Amino acid sequence: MADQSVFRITKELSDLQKSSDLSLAVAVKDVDVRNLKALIIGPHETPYEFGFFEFAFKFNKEYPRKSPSVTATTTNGGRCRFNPNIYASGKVCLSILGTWRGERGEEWSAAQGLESILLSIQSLMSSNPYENEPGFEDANEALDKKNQTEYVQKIRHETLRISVVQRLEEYLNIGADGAVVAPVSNKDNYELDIDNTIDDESVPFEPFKDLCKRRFLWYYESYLAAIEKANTQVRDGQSFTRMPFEGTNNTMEGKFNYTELERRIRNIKKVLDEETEKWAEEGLEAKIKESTVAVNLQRQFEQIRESFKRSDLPHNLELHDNNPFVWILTYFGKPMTNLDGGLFRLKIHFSPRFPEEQPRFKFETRLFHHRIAPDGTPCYFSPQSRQEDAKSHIEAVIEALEEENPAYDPRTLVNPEAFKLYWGGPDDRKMYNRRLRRSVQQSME
Amino acid sequence: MKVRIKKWNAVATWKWDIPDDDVCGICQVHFDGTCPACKYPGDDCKLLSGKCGHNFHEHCIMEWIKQDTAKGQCPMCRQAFEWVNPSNNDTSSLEGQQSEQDY
Repeated sequence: MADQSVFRITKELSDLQKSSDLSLAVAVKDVDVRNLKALIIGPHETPYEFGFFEFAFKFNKEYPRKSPSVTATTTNGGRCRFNPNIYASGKVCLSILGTWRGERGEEWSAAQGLESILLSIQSLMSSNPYENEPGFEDANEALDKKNQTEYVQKIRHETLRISVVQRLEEYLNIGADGAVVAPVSNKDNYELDIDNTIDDESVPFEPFKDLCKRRFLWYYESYLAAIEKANTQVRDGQSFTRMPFEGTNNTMEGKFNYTELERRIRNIKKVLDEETEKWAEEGLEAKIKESTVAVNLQRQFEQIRESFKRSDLPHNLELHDNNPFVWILTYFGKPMTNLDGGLFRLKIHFSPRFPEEQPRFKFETRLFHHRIAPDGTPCYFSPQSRQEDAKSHIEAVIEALEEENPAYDPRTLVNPEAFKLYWGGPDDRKMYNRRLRRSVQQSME
Repeated sequence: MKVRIKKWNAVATWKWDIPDDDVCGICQVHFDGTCPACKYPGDDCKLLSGKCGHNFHEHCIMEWIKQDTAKGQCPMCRQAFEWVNPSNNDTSSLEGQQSEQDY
């Protein structure tokens, strides 16, 4: 008899991966579904906003009769307690996990699962985490008010420093001086995909690398806006305030240094942009070697171009520099919409590791749009099941652009200024439309 | 024309008398399928309906309810789990059932 718990974990895993929840991601290494990694992206309007928080799940054979064990792994190496209920040691205090004394009806049940645990953890990441601590739920003295504010301020800082900056610097091999340290691995190796994947026990399992990089590009402006705002509240060198519930080795200590953080965030953006540019160079080499990816992209390019022609779509697709890894898409604004008459040029960069690393789109024509970051990066979602299909990416970008009545979703906040106008009152929306149309008009000049 | 039937195979389909697209809250498998321990749906892998309105594979709910930590509660709504007895439409609570087995 196959292991029963495995059936259910596998099912939950694929359901979650199919869902379009932009703030959760889960991954397992190869076939070992009992050891799972999950990523929670910090919720909007909380000090955790757009931070990347990772958790390790271990399911034993008794699942779902017994809860899995869950450990927070974004803790700055066991030194940072991000929440009254998320300890520096990684312990997650949650009644459904049995790690917290719960009220009646809050304990684990077989109907709970991966998603409900992740949502429970996410709900701990609130706008005022101070009140998560037992005994502080209704604390409202003057001192508590002060503590609440100062707790939020230091969480905001450490979310940016630890969960975003440290993580991305590690992913990109950025050294302390801000320069990229050459990776140790042999560069010529990537062609030998098959040999590479077999005995790579030494390579750490980092399933969220590409996701976090792409999200960083989405949320870059929000990070900068957060820093600008924080700079009006705290000054560099000021120490964090210790909370009454923080004890030895289970605390969040340090000093504010937003000047330093801003420098590092801007540097990460620069290195990321360089990485994208480097794909083009690597791509040309891959093209000469006729790598599988190069051949695949060339073929997909030709098919999509053909399909535009056949279906009478005005859009045009070309290769940049005859490189199958860099496409130029010319998009014609949809008639009878705000985009009518616009002519937009997009550059699409593909990685030599496509589709493991997803393509990066950039509008070269400036367009004021709530789904396009000021640097031209569009915020779109392509179905996870079709990520190797370049066309599904292009269609998803166009869909994001043309969507007429999108649902309010702060996880798509990639252009703070446009987002605020778009979702503001009727006057703001009018202003948004005016600015969008103006940029469409400019695109024709 | 006369037709003589030499042999015939009757085929029938069946489904559980519960709402469509419902899954077992424990194993999350559709009720048309079996619990993860069984191979064929049907009498070998029965469903059990709780008085609270929640249905499960019998094997799944039994595994859950026999644990002390379950406190005899339905995993979905945490009310005391009492099932509807399909044969005489009688209801019996778990405690009753278990003590009968003890003797």
